[in-house]
Amino acid sequence: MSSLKELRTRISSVRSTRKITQAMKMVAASKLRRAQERAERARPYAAGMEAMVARLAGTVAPEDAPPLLVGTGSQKVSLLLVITADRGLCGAFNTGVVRAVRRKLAALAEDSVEAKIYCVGRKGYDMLRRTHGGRIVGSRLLPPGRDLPFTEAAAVAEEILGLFADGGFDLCTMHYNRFRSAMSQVVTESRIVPRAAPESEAPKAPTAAPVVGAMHEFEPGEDELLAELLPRNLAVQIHGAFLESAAGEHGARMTAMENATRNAGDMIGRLELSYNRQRQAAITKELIEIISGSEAL
Amino acid sequence: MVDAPLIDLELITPEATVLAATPEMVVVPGSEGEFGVLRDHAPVLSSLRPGIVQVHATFDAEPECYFVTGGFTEAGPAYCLILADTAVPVSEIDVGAADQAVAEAEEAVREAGTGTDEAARERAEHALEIATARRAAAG
Repeated sequence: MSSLKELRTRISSVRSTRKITQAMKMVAASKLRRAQERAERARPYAAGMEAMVARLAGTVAPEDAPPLLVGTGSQKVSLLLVITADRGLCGAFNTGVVRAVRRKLAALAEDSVEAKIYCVGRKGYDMLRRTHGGRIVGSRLLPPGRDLPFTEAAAVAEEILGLFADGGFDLCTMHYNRFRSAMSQVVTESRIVPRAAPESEAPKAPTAAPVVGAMHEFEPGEDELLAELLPRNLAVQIHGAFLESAAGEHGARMTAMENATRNAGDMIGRLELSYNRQRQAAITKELIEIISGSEAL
Repeated sequence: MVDAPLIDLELITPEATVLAATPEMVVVPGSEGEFGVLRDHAPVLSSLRPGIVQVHATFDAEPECYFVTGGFTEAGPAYCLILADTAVPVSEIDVGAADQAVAEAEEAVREAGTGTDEAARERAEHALEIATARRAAAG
């Protein structure tokens, strides 16, 4: 049994831990709200872009479609874009993604597909470096500050496109946490190269429904437009994943810190109980000693 | 009185929806030349060059102007969707900053011109094009 003094120190240390986790929870909650708003604001653009690409993709003959749209025709090398947070203390947020990536790597190895990894966010990089360091072809940290500017996603997209142009990979999948609610994030895998056709190819019209089968004029030509749109669309998808991941991170941290705060509270209760018990035991013991001392006289 | 035929306009950037309105006419800086979008426009999909999007609430009203650095637009009989890389109201462009951006871009182009990196030169030239257009938009 630890002494009274030890218990007192212990209690005060757990108390200050609880203060910290509580503060972190509040910070995460307010950041979460902002991140969520940002993710929502970015959606119309992504939806519009997707609709345009779908419309164009429908008009291009498969034989002359660019490889970004239809693939290189082989599936030998796969690039995994892993999006995690830079910081920990957010529950299973980062490990969840990394676990999914490891599973994917094992599956790829079984199909004898060569895998390469591109990491965004320090935590994923740190975890994967130890086991799959040789496969990492690139990595970057998330930009400091609370904004995730589009330029950042564009830079990642550019690097990936550069790799693709040099024949560095045939397929690219993105692994990240999709934000579902403040309490839950879903580890998601989505293919970004070549473009994965959404379930229904009929895109939602941006505002008013265009006449079905309406022939569009294209300025400049379809091919040039597609060549501009596809890389852009890639950046948009990556940016969307960044924003989802950021919102998910704050949600995960908020939940984790709430649990930690509760656990700290429970622990303080237990410690205080045993502290009081010991204190009472000491008092009782002293009393017994006094009484038995006076009786002996 | 018959209502003027309106178009549903949305001006969207990756970060936010900048404008959602129902003007009578929109003038868009297409990569192949500026074009106006009115009601019953033939469906068109075009890329944009750096320039000004003019939003005319009514035909004779002063247009609301937005400077865009590039992007794409899709127009149809009753709508016009502009996906801009960035968009700012022209009135918010700081002339001094725009001037400085042009000077910096020119400098960058000169520097890149001496190098051998083809991609870097193209990037610098593109940046200069944007800076010049922004300066011109600022008036």
